Amino acid sequence: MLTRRDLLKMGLLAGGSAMLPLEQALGRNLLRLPGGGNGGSPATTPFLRSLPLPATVQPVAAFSTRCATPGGTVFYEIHEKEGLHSFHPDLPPATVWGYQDVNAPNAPLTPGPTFIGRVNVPAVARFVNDLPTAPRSFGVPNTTVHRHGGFQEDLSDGIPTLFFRPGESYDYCWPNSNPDNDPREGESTLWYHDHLVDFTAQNVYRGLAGFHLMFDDVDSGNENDPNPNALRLPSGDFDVPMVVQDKLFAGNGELVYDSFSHNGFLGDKFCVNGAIQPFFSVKQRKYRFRFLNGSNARFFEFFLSNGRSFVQIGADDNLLPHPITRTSIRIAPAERIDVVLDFNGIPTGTAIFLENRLQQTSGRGPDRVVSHGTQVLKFIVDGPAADPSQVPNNLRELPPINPGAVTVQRRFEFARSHGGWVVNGEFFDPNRVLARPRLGVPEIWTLKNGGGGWFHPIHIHLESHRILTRNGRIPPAWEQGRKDTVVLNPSEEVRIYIEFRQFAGQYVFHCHNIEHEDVAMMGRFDTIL
Amino acid sequence: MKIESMKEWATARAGIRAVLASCVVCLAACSGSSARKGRPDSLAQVDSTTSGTEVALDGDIESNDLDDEETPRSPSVDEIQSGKLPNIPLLTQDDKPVRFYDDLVKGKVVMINFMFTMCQGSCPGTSAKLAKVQDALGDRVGRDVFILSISLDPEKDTPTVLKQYAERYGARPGWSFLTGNRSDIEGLRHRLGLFDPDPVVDADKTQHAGVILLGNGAIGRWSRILALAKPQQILDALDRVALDPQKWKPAMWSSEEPQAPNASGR
Repeated sequence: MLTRRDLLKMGLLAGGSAMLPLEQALGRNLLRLPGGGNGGSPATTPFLRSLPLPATVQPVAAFSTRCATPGGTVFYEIHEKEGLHSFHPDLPPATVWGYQDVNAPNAPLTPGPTFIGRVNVPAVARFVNDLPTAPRSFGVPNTTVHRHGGFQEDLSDGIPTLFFRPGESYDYCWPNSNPDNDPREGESTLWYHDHLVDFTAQNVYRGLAGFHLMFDDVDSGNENDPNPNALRLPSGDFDVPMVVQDKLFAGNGELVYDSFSHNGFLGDKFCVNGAIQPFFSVKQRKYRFRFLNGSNARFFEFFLSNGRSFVQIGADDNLLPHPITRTSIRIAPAERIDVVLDFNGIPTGTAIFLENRLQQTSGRGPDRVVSHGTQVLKFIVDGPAADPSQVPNNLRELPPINPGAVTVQRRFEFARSHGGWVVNGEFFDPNRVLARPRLGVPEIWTLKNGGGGWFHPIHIHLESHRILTRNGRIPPAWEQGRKDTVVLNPSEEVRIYIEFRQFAGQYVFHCHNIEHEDVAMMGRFDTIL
Repeated sequence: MKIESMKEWATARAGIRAVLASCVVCLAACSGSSARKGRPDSLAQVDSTTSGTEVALDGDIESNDLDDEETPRSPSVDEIQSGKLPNIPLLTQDDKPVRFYDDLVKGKVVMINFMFTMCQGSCPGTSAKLAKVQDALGDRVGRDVFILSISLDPEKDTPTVLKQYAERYGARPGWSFLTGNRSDIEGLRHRLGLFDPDPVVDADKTQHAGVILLGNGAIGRWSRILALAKPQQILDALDRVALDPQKWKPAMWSSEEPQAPNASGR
């Protein structure tokens, strides 16, 4: 038998074009997980644990701050902390970073507590960094908080290099006003998360994310509201935010993040509100579910196992003008989909599964919809309840736009370049201004996918936009409202209408596949007077 | 990887020079992989009757699995969790055998790029950029920071070739140019995330030659930057992986005129 060493001595270790396919095959082969999932997260039994419901952030006494504090300003104090978090009863707890209300020091860290904002009630949120300075396998404890979808000055927008360090704090001034004080610009479902330059992916994956809901006289958060303008959508216990995230776990229960997942990190466990595959007991009535895809790179497409449809009422931070019935909802990283599901008439004890049927095997983007997906959440129908809520046919009117009168157009191409990610051929440079939109002047931006089969969910800070066309065509109805994140599917060119109306300053727009954002598909734009 | 591998590699290197033209099969393709997967060494199972002109590989290659090869899978959670990287044997431009993880990365701050010396015109000027970074870092190179340039064309890029190349770019001690077994290097490149899911794009070596990986092997913090960055940007990004986070300084941005105005109509 010829040994390896013999062969080597004979000089058979060398390259030749004839053997390249074999070599490549071997090279790829060794990178595969051995057989069907070994090497992934430990097995967990689905639907053992009830869906966690993040608490509402409670106000604190007024404190001295750099922010303007007109009468009625609400003050909050949030601590960024490291702690142990149970994602599943079968797993030992994992070390996470999260947000904690100073009023609730024992609350789960991730997702963080939910802010409830009221239009024209300004808020000051003091974030205190109590994170450890000792190195962790991933996560960098210099933090900057972006309220995603928020209409706010640049200093309160989470500028990626304007971080605060362990032992420091930072006050975020959230005026909670609408652009042009127009009630048609009222917002509903925002979220907040870390935005540290180069390391946003690690920090968000470590747990630094939470919801921020907005209410006004229309979307009032009260299904019994006597105000005739109020929509009376399902509220209170029946208005449930759900952040869906994919995670990877080690045998010891710790979160695993591969810092070399430059193309987009994927986990193999689906978590809702920080629990792997939870169940949720629901009454026989309507619920409002606000889905947020808080994953780094994974897209979802949700179906209901009983074949029922979703009634979509909102997209990203905004309500749609009218509800839309859909059999499935696709949601890209950072997008939000606001739906109403009605369990009325479904027998007690019935189980209905929220299924993700979108297959995705790489950070490039989803592959295809498959017939049987992963059950992410189990609804268990559990008896009757009064239901004063309604879903009116008219939700929130869209503010009028006039694209034909727009005189300023810009074009941005989002592309892969030599293993990195670029906007118009350049990766993020905080000292390069890609656009200087003037306040009060509407613009049309053409966002072009640079190709290669990659998907790029593009998020623009400060103002919502309106999608005019996808590859020249009118977008589907659920994309005709105000959006803050727009997916560029492979080879697509999307035209959007956007107007910046207040807050001259420094902002960013970027891909929200966070690994793409970190290296470094992000651009700076300065709004100017 | 045991030290015998280094001897084997040294022997093999002589072999490359001797029989480059006639060789048809790179048997070492399996070496790193089978060891990492805990498999029997495929090389030991080569049918001796093939006399070096044709090689039969046994069934453990899983050739039936190759149909969806376009998406290389992630490493196992244990491998990621360990923080270790493939410990492949390499040779420096000074013909010194080293192991990638133990000798070059563990406990060190590193800048890593993949390159090949023939990539003169089509590659971004990564080596030239690294030369500027080297100069800016001064005597930190070789003490606090190590630069690792790994060849994607290891058969052509022998230590001698790499030495000439290093001299052309004024590489000083602390900047290593490395060659080795092609499949080991390809495996390392994939593990470091520098691959494209499209096999056609992935086969273009120049696609992998424009990134600089920045790593802190002491704490497992990694980042990367495109070589088209300005040297100062590369140094700043290096600080962000190398320094204690308390030493970073938060910053607003400068206000200068736009360098790439793209608005029309005004």
